[in-house]
Amino acid sequence: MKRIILLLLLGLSASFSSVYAETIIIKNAKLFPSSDNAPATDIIIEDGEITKIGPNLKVPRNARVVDSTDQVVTSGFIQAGTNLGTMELWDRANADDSFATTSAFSAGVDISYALNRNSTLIPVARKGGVSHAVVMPGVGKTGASELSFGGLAAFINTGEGQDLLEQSKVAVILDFTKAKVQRGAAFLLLEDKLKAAQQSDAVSRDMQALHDVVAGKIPLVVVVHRASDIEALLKIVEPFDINLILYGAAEAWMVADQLAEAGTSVIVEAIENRPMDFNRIGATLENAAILDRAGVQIAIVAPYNGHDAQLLRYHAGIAVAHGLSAKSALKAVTSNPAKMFNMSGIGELAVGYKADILIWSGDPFQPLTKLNKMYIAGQEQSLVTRQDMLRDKYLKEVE
Amino acid sequence: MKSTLIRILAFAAMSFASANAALAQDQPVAIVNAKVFSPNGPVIEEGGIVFENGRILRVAAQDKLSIPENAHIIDAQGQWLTPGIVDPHTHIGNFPTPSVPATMDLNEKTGINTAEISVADAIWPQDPGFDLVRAGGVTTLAVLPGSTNLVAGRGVVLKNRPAATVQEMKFEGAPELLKMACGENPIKVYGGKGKTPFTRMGVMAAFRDIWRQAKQHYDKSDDKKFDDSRLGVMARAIAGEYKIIVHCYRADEMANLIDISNEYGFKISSFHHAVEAYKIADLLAEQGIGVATWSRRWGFKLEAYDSIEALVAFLQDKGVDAVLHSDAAILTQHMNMEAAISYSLAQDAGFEVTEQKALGWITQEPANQLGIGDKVGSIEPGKMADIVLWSSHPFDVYSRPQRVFIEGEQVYAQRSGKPPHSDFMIGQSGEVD
Repeated sequence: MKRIILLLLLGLSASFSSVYAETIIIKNAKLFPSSDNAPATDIIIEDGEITKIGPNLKVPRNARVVDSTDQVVTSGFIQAGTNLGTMELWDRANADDSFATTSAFSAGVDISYALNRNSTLIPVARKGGVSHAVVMPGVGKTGASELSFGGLAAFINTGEGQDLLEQSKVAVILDFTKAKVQRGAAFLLLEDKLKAAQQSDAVSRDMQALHDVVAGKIPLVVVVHRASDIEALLKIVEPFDINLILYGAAEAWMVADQLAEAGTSVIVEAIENRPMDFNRIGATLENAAILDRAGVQIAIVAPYNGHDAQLLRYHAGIAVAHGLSAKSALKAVTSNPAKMFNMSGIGELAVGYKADILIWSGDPFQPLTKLNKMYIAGQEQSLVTRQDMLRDKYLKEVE
Repeated sequence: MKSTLIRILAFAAMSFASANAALAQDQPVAIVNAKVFSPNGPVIEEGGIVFENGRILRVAAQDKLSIPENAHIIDAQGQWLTPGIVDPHTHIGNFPTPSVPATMDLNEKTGINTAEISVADAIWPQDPGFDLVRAGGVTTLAVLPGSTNLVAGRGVVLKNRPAATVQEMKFEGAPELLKMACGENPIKVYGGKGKTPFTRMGVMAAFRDIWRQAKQHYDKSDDKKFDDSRLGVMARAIAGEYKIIVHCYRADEMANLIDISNEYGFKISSFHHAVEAYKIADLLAEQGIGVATWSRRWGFKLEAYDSIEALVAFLQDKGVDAVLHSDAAILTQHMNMEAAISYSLAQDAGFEVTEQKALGWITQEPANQLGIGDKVGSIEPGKMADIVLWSSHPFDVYSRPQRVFIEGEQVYAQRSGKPPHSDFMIGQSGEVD
């Protein structure tokens, strides 16, 4: 029995890089959000991509028909800030590679080397509808450097039997709340680093990473909460051609108009409303809604800890309960994070996009809704987790 | 029979409550045109409720509800009405926000047995967390000390009413709680300093030492009356004066602690967190020990790695009294979602669960575990008028409490324009509500 599972796993790993070629047509699905009388949609998947979408499509020859009448279809969800795939347990288990802040490297740390596609957390995330994630190193950690750059983030997919890594080096992460020095020095240090990176011929990995930031090639993600810190940060980066993304940003709503004007995106922890410290007294569940109304591009994330990526769908719902439109909430967990991290061809149900598709029994943000099917790059995914296996083992034992 | 008993208890308690003028509801209130959703019966689609002097007087279908002439009438306009949420494990008030060293009142980390301490002495009624969880419909909450000490100290059951002192918040007549802990946390804190316990062997040996001394102290006493010293509290625990709550994750450790409880004659009321409880469901059922746990929190440490979905339903199916708790202050605000998620997971796993049962996981059943199930947890005549009006079905993610009542008093209304109760939040910039 055990051996069979091992063989299955081996079989999967042997074939994980091959293109999934099955042609599939999803029939009669409802888009989300949509009105009751909106027409049902068909989606054709070929070679892992969406090739047609619209009502009453002709069934291609040899296509597998997936009848989705009365079911809701969305693009796969993206958890835009997590340690998923780099951490099995964070507490005293020697199983947390989500940071490399004990090294001499800072901005140049490459988290893609820490990815483990056999992590048991990945199927759990998948079961929550998470098809992709932005794995960010060093969030919440104080580093060796005074400014605690976490390093370079990776964009991953959660597809079973697929290459976990979609794209490495998609952003540089800086947790400003973990700076070793006080504000009067920290902002100056950041400014000096960016200036140096502008002039540098990239002699070190760290400078190369920051060089890509000031060259506008990859975004700089900054964990920051206090409204005055956000304003100071906007001033510091203004002279540079930097694509700035705020992460956490509990008080971002207070400076929503400035953020909109600067074109700065915000990754919002939709459920975090506690005044945890004096840097986020203004935390509120309405953060996402206010930013969205002001025209700021937002992504919604579940808590950073990879075990919680599965909660993303509910947290998007809680943002809607606090004023965000369902349409904006869906974008905030699909197309917006893909755009923020320059991942073209991901995050929408549209022709030419990867077939990362979720089929739900209803509104995906509702806890009573079931995720019935999931496709990543056109490949149907298992929604069975280690937790399910444990439960079934003990259910059977007592029978 | 049951309702007669409840009524007798209710009247006894009512006469007590009315003695406390500050808490008394001054006018009867009728909420009409509500969908009444309670763990003890089917949803009343067009229902109403009357409460007076802090107690529920009547609940009925709209057309059968007799309303006192002097009642203040609230038209719920089709909103959902449930009992207030009861959370059996929180740290609101003793582990408050802002979370700074000055407010670290969670663990008395000076020794593995601190039975003499009481959480009530550390409750900060200005914790903004009380406001936040009130807005989430939580009307009753147990506040417990943390889990670094084997015997952590006493917990307290509170009514979540805005107050300046813990005395005004205490749930009158609720049993006292005693919190214990096993597993990784005591080892991390004490073993990390080279002290005992360094391993799980040390944990269980230390428990035996503690309880052996307590048993000797108990046996020596003729009148079985004890003071509130460390040893006195432990002897009282043997005398059954506390609901004993044990923080424990692993099945084998729970079983070891059950052995110790039987050796020294104390009764464990419930295991909390207990993510491996499914592995010893029969033992827990046989010993009559309850479980309070989460819907989906898992994996943050090795002892939480074997968590399963639908744990509450699994345990109830095996005859274990299982309920939901929050522990983490974010979850405390969203216990309706915890119930909804657990309900959904139970269905996925093939357990037969009604939505009334699932509502009971965050109302009646935790109230039963805390020994206050005759006073709160359902919408029944004689019970305390702890009531939440929700904008839609509470298992709807978009639903939000519109009003919250505690013993008949309105303690929360959405967008009331009132300042927050927490003085800490007064005058801080950027209030949204």
